[in-house]
Order: sequence, then structure tokens, then C-alpha cells
Amino acid sequence: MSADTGIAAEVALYETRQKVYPREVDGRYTRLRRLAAFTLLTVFYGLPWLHWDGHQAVLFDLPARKFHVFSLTLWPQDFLWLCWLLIMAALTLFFVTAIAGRIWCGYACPQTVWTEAFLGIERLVEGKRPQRMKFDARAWTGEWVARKAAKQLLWILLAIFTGFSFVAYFTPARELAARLAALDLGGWESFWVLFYGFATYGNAGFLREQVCRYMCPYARFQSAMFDHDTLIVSYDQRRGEPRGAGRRGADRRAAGPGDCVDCTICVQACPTGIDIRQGLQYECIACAACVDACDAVMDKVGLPRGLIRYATENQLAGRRTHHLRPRVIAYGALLAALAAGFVTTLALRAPAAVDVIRDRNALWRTLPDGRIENVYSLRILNKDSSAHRWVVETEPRGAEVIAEPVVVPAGGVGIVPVRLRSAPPVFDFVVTASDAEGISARRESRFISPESVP
Amino acid sequence: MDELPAATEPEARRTWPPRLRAAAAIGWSSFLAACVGTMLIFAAVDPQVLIDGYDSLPSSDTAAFWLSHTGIYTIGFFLLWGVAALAALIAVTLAGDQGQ
Repeated sequence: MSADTGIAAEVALYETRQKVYPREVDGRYTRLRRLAAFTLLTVFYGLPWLHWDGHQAVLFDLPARKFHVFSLTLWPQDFLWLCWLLIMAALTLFFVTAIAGRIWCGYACPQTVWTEAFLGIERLVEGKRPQRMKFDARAWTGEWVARKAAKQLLWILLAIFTGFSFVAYFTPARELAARLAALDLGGWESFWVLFYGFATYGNAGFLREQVCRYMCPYARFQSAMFDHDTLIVSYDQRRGEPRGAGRRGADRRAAGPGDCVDCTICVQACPTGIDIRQGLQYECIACAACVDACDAVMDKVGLPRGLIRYATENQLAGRRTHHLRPRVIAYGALLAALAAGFVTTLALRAPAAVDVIRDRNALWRTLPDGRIENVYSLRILNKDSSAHRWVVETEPRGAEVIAEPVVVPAGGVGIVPVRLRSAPPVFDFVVTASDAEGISARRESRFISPESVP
Repeated sequence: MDELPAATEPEARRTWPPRLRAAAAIGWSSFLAACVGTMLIFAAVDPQVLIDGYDSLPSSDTAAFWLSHTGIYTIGFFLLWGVAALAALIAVTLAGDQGQ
């Protein structure tokens, strides 16, 4: 193995593996991919620092078991929405895959995004592809060690920052940063920063395309969502073959060979190390690096662009592409229905909830005047975005309710001790925000008296 | 073009040996399952219940460490990952090509 075949051997965990040195390309899809990666990374690293209504905009507050998303506070009881959201995300993936193939893989998958970031550092420190390959062929020189060390340092810093940002979604970021600066991180926080950092480092620095090839379930089942009208990165075989060098420009076509000049730049650009000219392969993550690479070559040799391009199988075969087809309509309709339901139920979500906890010590108590009293604790969850003063009542009315009104902050819990006299055996507790219109919650409960126990 | 010839590249694509592939598949699939499982379980179970359940234990720094919220979430996650990995391992063993 030597640098001039474009392959270097390196001993990985168990087996000799050959390293892919993706060639850097430029072009519209590459720029789009960089823009997507940049945007997503900015969101991921930036969101923990954003504040909203006096709290971190997005925070999974595990000790308090609350999930803040901007002005919305979700509780474990609202878990259904999270599941719903995940189902919608999966369906969106199917929908997009049916139309445009694996653009998720190429532009939005965290694996791609962080690999792009780590590759960026690698290029910055070690230079472009030919330099890197020559470089690795002359290992253990002083410069090699220095550059490798610099790269590792930058990688590790980025990985740890990633781990830190991950933990900052669970522990308020500012607090976490202050404690990190004071070297006073808790054991579990340190563990998760390092664990997540290590996972990032391993996945984006070393495993890279192996994750797509061997570990990603989506890569295996996405073909089920493909049909002849799905956009895929394809090599136009009819135009390209027979491939070979030959003359440049317009004369070339007359001379015989197809448009592919067999420069293999598309292969060198591929981050997963495949040859797109062999047709669609499951390793292809549709990043379109080969499209940009080939377009640049076509420009140089004076042939039209698009020898490798996003195209459907029908287009390549010279047939029409059907954009609206049963599969797309079905995914789209289902997705629209789910999204409408999601938004509606979330908007109509009860802004409060109440739990009833009975006094465990005594089922009932007989008062001096002979009346029966039951004691409860009400746990009021204020899911609204502002604080309210809550009043406890029963339905049907008529019972004597002894309870102090309680003020519960937005997204908070209030406990109210309640003593109840002369209530029917089955009734509802109703808690109402006295300072707002139409915000209440109810819970059925029982009133136990000597008569109700045989 | 510069550093050609590279026409041998497609043939030289790296492949992982079957065991490493199986290990990766087991590790990753069980990781995803553990993520979903952790969400489902801890949406229903408040770790505080577990912490309260241990209030008869002598309080110590070690107990406080393991029986913290984050501690229980973490242990829960890794426990689920382990169990899911075990299931995946058995599935791979049963479905696999008999030790090849």
C-alpha cells in the first residue's frame, strides 16, 4: 500500500483497514452541505446559551422532570407528544426519502455533519488530500508528529465541547460553564461530557463512513422507500460510456468515447469510498460530492455538466418522472394529518393538571359535631406559561372545603392540603385559576365515611 | 489531473471482518433501543421514587452519588443498553451463519 494508489494501511481495532482520503471539492452541493452543517452545528452548540422567559430556552430539567421548549413546558404526562413528534420525524424521513432519496444522509445526519467538522480540522492541519497521503507515507518525522498532535488536540477539544454542549441540554449551560471553570463538575456530568465527547471523537474522527456502512439501520431500509421516481445521485451511463481519455471539447463526441474521461475524481471525492459509476450502492450517502467533482471536470474539458447528477431512474432511462405518485401522496397525507393533530392537541392542551393524594394515616375523622372529615393533598401542576393563583372546589358542590388558595409559578408544582367535610362518596376535585379565564383541572376522588365502608 | 493513477481505488474499498460488523451492529442497535427505552421508562418512573425507597440505607457520599437523579438515569440507560445488547447478541448468534 502506498500513497500513490490513494490508499494507506493503518491498523485499526481488529483488522487492517484502508483509509479513505476524501478529496476536497467545491461546487454548489458542497457549499449547500457546508451551509447545512454550519447551521446545524450552530443550533446545537448555541441553543443551550439561549434564554427565554427567564429560563434556558431548551432544557430537559431532569431533577424537576420538566422539559422546557421556549414558552412551552412539558411534563412526563405530556410524553405522548414527544412520541408523536418522533413518529412525525420518522414519517418526514420516509416522505423526503421517497421524493429526494437520501438527502438526510448527505446534509443533515449528525454523523455527516460532525464528520464534515472533523474533516475540516484535518484539512486545516494536514493539508489537502495529496499532501495528507504523502504525509502519512512518511510517518514519524518531526513534522508528522507535530501536525498529528495538533490535529488530535483540536479534535479532542471539539469533542469535549460537544460533550459539554450535550450535557448543557440537561444541566443549565451557564451554571455548568461556571462549574467547569471552577473545576467543580459533578461526577456524572464529567462522565457524560467525556462519554459523549468520546463517542463524537470515535464516530466523526475514526469510524466516519463505517457508521453508515455497518451500523446505520436507515441505510439498510431506505431502499424500501425508493422507486423509479426517486432522486438519486446517478452516473449517466448512456452519456458517459465508453469511458476513457481522448480528445477534449466538442470533437470528443465525434471521435467515439463517451463523456466520462475516467479521471476518477468522483471516486476520490467520495467520503464513503465508492465508485458511483457502478450504479446505486447502499453506501452512497447522497452527499453529491461526486456531482460537484465531476461538474468541475466537465467544465475543464469543455463538456456539459451533469454527467453525474441528481436524477431519477426514469429520467436516466429517458422517461418522464412522476412527482405525485401513491407513495408520496400517502406519506404526505399521513404526515399532514399527524402534524395537524399535533398542533391542535398541543394548542388545546390542558394548561393544568391535578393529582389527588389521600392522607395515608386515617381514612376519615369524626368531628365533635358528628360530621366526617377526609384529608387530602392536591398536587397542582401549572403547565401554563404564567403564574396563577389556584382555588380548590368540589363538584357537585355542597361539601365544605377547607383549603388555602395557592400560587403556583409557571411550569411549577404546588401542594395544597385539603380538608373536606360532608361530601358525596364520589366527587370531582376542581382546581381553578382565579386570576385567569377558563383555566382549570379536575380529578375524580372518593369521600370515605363509616357508611361507605360496610 | 494530479495524483493519479487511482483507478484501483474502488477495489480497495475497506471492508470490516464479519465479527467486527456483528459487534458494530449489536452495539449500535442496542444503543438506539436503550435510548428509546430510557425515554419510555423514565417518562413513567420518577427516580425520586427509587431514591425514597432507599431512605433506610445509611447516607454516605457513595450512596448520594449513585442514588442521585443523574446517577439513576445513567445506570438505567446503561442497564438497558446491556440488556438490549444481550438480546442483539443472541439474535445475531441465532440468525448468523454458524460461527463463520
